[in-house]
Amino acid sequence: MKQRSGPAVFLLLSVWVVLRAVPALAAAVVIDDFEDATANKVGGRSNTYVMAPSRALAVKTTEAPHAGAKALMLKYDKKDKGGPYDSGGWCGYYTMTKAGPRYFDAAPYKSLTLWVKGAQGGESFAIGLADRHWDEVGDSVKSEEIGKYLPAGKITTEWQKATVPLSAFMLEAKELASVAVCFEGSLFPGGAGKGTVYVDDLMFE
Amino acid sequence: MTAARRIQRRALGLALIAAMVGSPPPPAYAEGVLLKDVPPLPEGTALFQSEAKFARRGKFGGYAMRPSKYGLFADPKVHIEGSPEGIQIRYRKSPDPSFCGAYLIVLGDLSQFATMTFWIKGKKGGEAFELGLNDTISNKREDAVLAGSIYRYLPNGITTDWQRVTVPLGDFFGTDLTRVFGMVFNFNEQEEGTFWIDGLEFHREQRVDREEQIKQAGQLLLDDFDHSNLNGLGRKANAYKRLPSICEFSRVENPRVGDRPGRSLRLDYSKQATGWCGYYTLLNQIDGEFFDLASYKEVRFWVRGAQGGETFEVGMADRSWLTIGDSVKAGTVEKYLPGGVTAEWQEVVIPLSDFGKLDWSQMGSFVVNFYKQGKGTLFLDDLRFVRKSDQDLLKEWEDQK
Repeated sequence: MKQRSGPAVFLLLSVWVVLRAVPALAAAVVIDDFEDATANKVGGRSNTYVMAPSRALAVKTTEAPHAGAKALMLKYDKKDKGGPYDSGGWCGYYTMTKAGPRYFDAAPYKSLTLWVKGAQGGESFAIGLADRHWDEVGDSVKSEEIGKYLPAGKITTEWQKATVPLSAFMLEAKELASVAVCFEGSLFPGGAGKGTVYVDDLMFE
Repeated sequence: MTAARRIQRRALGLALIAAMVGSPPPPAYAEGVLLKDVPPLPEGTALFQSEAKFARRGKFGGYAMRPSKYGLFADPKVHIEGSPEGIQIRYRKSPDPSFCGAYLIVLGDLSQFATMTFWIKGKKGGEAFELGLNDTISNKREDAVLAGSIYRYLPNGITTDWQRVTVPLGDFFGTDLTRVFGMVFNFNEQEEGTFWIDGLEFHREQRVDREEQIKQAGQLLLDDFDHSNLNGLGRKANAYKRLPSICEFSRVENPRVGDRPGRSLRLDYSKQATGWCGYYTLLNQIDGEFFDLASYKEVRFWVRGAQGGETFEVGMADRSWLTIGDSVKAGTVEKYLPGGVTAEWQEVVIPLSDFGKLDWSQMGSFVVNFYKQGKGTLFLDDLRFVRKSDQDLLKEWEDQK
């Protein structure tokens, strides 16, 4: 008997139309799990950034990570006096999502997520994101205080997942250059703050 | 419908869907993109008539100035599994200024790739060359960007077994990756050798984590002076001089620290009452990134003199000091070798804090400066920077309270 191929072709075309029409759903991508590589999972390097007299230190620690064997420990000491404009300088940590000349395409993702806890609780920072433009001027667009994105409303001594919507940054998500943890003076009473925070599993989801 | 017919139809359907979403199956033995599948040169790329006529992707050839020689051919007898043939490359490099090398034409846009891999094996083991890449501009001036010796990618060198070489394309800093003309194998060591290459592939992901390699080793070996005038970061090194003072550098097999084969750096200098002279090795890429030494605590190297009693200063330059063409000196070598330089190898250890307030996140160069009037010959070997341990960093943090 002659086989009818019409329904099969229609089904295939329907699949094709659906695949083309629906925006690509990207699986979550890990930017850094802080396990073993100095370079992050997308091939970019990471480091602290400081302007004296403020200072920061980044060390991978095995003390109670959120997952895996290690987490990132960030010590910060944001001053309120001295340095440029007598504003105490600045400090933070960055990880490059740009690897060589290639920027990271974050357009398929809705949010940046990370796990956070503090040594004492009550520590503070903002997330900074830079696209090509902000990368070229050596700065980043800052989120609101990290507590706004945490279930408890502030950093505690327990691990919490922060979910920071990418839409808040108004950046060219197709060309993302870096993610930063920024210890901004405006986050601390009087502009000065000192503490230790832990970060793990930085991802785009 | 028979079961075979159903399977055939299902396979056809899946293939059709795969074709629609643009995911052709990879070649059997390839993980990356094969040379034949690399995107072509951008439309309008300028080629000389001779280049357009002569060059085709996958063609290989060589260059030589007599009496140096090269030879190469497709070898169906020696190849990796799944490949029809390897490329056999032979060379006989005579003393400078004679030269020779081989090339493989790419004629493609590699800008979407981060890493290049290929397989290599030697006839005897120990064959050596510098690896280069040239774009359609540098090819016209018969030049290439060299990334360093094959030992940079195979620390134990080429052996008689197939080994995979993994090269970050970023190492060819300065090459226009959108317009790559070819790969270059430059035979810089005076010797004779035969080796095979096969399975050239390009990958979109980074496959080399240099920072992690350094962290695992606990140090950056900036130069062992064994196989290339480029240092371990692929940066340039050279003597500097202002007449009437002069300095010349070479790499020599004797003397050498330890008993492994290789070379040391030889500096022949003549410091006069005026002028200056010395040697520098760059940490930064020219017109590119500076090197972050903020996580390092000391510089170490081995030194000896031809006679003993030779003296010099050790300097380092960050971005600012490099811009003005000078360096900050930690002091003279006697500060670190109380008995001074002798005719025996001694290790010099200099805490980076001795260089004062430099921007360690943007470092430019390491310098040996001959400051005292006189002539001499000095040998250096195994120049390296030792990283701070996490304990060092935490102690430093607490100390700065």
